[in-house]
Amino acid sequence: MIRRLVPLVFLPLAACAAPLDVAGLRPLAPEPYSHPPKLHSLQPELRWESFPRPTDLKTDRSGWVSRVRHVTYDLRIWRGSRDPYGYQEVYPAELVYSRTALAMPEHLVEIELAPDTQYLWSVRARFELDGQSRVTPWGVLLVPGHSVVDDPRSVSVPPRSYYRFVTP
Amino acid sequence: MLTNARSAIRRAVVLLASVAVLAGCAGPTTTSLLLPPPPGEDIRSGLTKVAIASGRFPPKFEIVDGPAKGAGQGAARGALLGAAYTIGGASLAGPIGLVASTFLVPVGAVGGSIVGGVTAEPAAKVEERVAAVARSLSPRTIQNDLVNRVAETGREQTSGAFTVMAATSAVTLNGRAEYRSLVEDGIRTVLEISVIELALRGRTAEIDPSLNLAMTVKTRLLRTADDAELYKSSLTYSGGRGRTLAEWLDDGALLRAEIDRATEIVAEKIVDEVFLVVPFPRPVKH
Repeated sequence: MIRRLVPLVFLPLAACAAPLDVAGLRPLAPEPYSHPPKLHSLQPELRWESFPRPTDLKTDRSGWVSRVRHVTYDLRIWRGSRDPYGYQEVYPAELVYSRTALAMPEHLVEIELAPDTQYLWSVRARFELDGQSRVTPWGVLLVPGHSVVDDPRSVSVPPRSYYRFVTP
Repeated sequence: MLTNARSAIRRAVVLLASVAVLAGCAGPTTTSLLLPPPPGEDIRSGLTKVAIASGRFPPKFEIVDGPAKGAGQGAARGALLGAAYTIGGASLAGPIGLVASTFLVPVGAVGGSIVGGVTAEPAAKVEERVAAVARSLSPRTIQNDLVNRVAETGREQTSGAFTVMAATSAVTLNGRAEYRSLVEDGIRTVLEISVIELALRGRTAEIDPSLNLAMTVKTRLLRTADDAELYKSSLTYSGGRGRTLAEWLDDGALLRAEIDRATEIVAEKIVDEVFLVVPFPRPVKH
């Protein structure tokens, strides 16, 4: 009996501990968990996947990815507040930090963020395609059992499911 | 513990509201809950010179699930809330609490109805506040601010030339705009942007709920040569910080600031979707 209960108890716990799937460039530090990771610095260093990813090249049937040139990255950080509708209990209330055209898929935040505060953040690639400026969609978490409102293609803006962290 | 109970009740309300919206019982003016794919590169290659036209009508304004109007509605909502809080609170105590709640629910409902009946404001006063908020909004300004913001963002983010059309510059035929005359000016596409609805949305069953701004905007990309629709979408801004109807009315600057924020976010999303975003390639499903 107890042996049967073990997976029932530990599998959900293991699921909570596993990083979440994302839509967009995946954060490498801090990693995306359902509970926002607590950082050690008020000026965190954020890292994410570079673009194009191996999977983009592999799945690109129309061939546009191979024509991508001059890739840079846009980064945004918002102060989070409680979402009144409780979808994800956090809402991008105020844009506090924004950088465009970052050359590398990493950035050391140049200002001190507020202590003990939940922040949302996201990145996207900015690039040239046949000489025209283009971007990838902003990265968001894919929370298990999420509602349509949290879908990356939802008609509802702003998204509630940006990546998250909490300052020390 | 009370916070947990409130959270549980809120989640339940959100879930029920979502089901209602998805079932088509209530909800947004939008026909789809997901955006269509952005225009392809074949369409975007023709977007070097774009005229932006705004809606020529005042957006609909409404209060959705606003404050209870009068003692009767207040008492009814209070009864529901009292019952829900009793069940929510008792459920935290486990199975015994749930059993006990079946006896306590009527007590919670009666208590809630008394509180609701006493605290709800008269219907006339609520109606007057709704009318006052509606009067404080300038529909023409809201439409113009959005198109100007889209043009500004478009110029910053793309290499295209954006012209904001004067409201009188396009021919109107049977209520629909025609843009064929723009061909002579070398304009091949028009981006039509209309704020179709502004709303302050609360939560069902609360007596004086916190209301959040919602702004629904329709976008159409039209080819001027034949008025063919190249792309269309609808977006809804859902605000974060809510306030009661009285609070929104007391400080008009707060509502203006929230509309400005909605305008900025929606404008950027429109520019992203129409001109910039390229979705990641999708893995082939076997």
